[in-house]
Amino acid sequence: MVRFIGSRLLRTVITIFAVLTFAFILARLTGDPVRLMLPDQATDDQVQAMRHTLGLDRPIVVQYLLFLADAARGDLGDSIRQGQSAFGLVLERLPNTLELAVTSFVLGFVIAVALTIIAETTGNRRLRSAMLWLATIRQAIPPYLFGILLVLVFSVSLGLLPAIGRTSYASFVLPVATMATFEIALYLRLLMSSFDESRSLDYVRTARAKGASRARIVVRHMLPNALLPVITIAGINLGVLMGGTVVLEMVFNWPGLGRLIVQGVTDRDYPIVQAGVVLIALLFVVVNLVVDLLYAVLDPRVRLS
Amino acid sequence: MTQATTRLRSGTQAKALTAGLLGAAPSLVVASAMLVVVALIVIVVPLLPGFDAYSQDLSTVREHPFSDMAHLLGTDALGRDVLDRLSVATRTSLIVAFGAVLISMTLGLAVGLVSGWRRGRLDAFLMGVADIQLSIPVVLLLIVVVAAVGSSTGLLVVMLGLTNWVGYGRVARSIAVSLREREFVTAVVAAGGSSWWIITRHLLPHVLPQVVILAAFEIGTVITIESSLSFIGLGIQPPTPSLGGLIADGKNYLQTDPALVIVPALMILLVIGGVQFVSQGLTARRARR
Repeated sequence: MVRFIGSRLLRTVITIFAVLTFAFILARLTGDPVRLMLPDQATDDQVQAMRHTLGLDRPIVVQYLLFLADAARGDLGDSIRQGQSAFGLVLERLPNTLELAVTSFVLGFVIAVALTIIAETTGNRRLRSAMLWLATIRQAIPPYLFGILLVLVFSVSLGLLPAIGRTSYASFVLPVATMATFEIALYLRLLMSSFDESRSLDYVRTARAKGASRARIVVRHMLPNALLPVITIAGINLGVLMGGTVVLEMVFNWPGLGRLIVQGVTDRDYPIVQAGVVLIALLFVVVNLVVDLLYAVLDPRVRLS
Repeated sequence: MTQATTRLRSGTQAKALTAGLLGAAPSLVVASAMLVVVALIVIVVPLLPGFDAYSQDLSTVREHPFSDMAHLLGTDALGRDVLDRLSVATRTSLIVAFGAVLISMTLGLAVGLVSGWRRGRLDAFLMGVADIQLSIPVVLLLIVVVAAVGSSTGLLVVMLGLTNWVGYGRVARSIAVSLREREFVTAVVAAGGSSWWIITRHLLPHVLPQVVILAAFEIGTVITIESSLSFIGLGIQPPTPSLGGLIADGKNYLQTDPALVIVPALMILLVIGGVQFVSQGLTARRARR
């Protein structure tokens, strides 16, 4: 168990390190930030002075170590356009993105579990294959495209829901529906294939022989086992979910992290982009660490091996 | 024939039909039909007279589909022919996707086969790298790279290729691990076959079919990522038309001209649906053997 936790922690640290190193290397590839920050008519002396204040005249190794030290303190440089701490600006927008991602995840997961239970307890094959087919089709549609199609139907044609912005609870419906259906599709397929595998296993047969009802077998015996592998996938899927939300914010004009990052790219404001992506990567890595540890708690086989 | 047998027969027929529809073989048929439409638009449309995806004509702006024979699918906000732009956009997306998948597949095969064949420390190291690669969301990775060095189609192909190899690597490795204990491999080792010989001549032929099926599926994934990036303006850059770019342009006219979004949207569904059905059909066909 200690060894397991140790190896996961080590991996998390290495990953964070890799992300920061990558961000540092890319920052050197963006070209000279000084030229972007100073007006065009700046003299060479002014440029040199600016380079000195930013520490760009020091050896690259020193710059790298200083970068890591700053990053550890949550300082990823200042936004070129807005002059404030890039990490601060990014943190400000994070809640707006998280509320979309988390609501979609929770809703999607709960609905997928409910649908699987319904399909399994009724034993209706047609219902089951209809669900699987809808899930496959939904998964084939990129989130941003599904979002636009929803806007086309519910905002433009029917005029029921707001298409863009974050002004009322109604603004949540379309973006959340876009991501939640994607999540439903993913977990429905995973859960159903998990159920397929366990249906003929001994413990299910034993439960059936004891005279347990179908609903009880599904909910009490099969579901906990089916959920185990799904937890791992859920951790990895968080990255897809965050990436999808980032793109989706552009569809719905959602004032979140994604729009800030994309705006940063257009404005050539690299510190903002770097801070945004490092923050999401950190979140992702930490959530995956928690998922791995949770898995060990839930599955004794991992703990004991 | 009595009524009962008729009912029985039509019942079994219906069952066979649904089984068929939901099963593997017809999905290959459906997929082929979808991909034929895609191929027609990519290959035949550029051969038609008057093909031009770039010229603007402000006298024929946002014409509706099928209203003007010179512009079968209408024109966009700058008077450019939608069908012609769709053709070039689909070709661009497909070239990017195929290029990227080829890079990922080669990289994944190389890493997976070497890892699975050599095992030991090298294996642990390479799979550790794979884990780290997986723990950085691809879309975000691409966004930072574009932010740092700008976007070009070539860069997009290489970046998409380099970031999506893990799936192939894991499949190749798991098959290589199971094969290395088999007798035919042991026999080659005993006969003095080199690692390179064993990997290329004996392991690769077993691994390739599985990996190709995965590649067919991945083309859809890569097109999703590329078109998402192009949609937010960080992928393929104008004036080159791309499917995501067409949708982003059309989004501004959702109220008056929804066709500008619906046309490229249908194309994306055809391409992604087509390759996914092919992949499913191939998987089912292999499973049946």
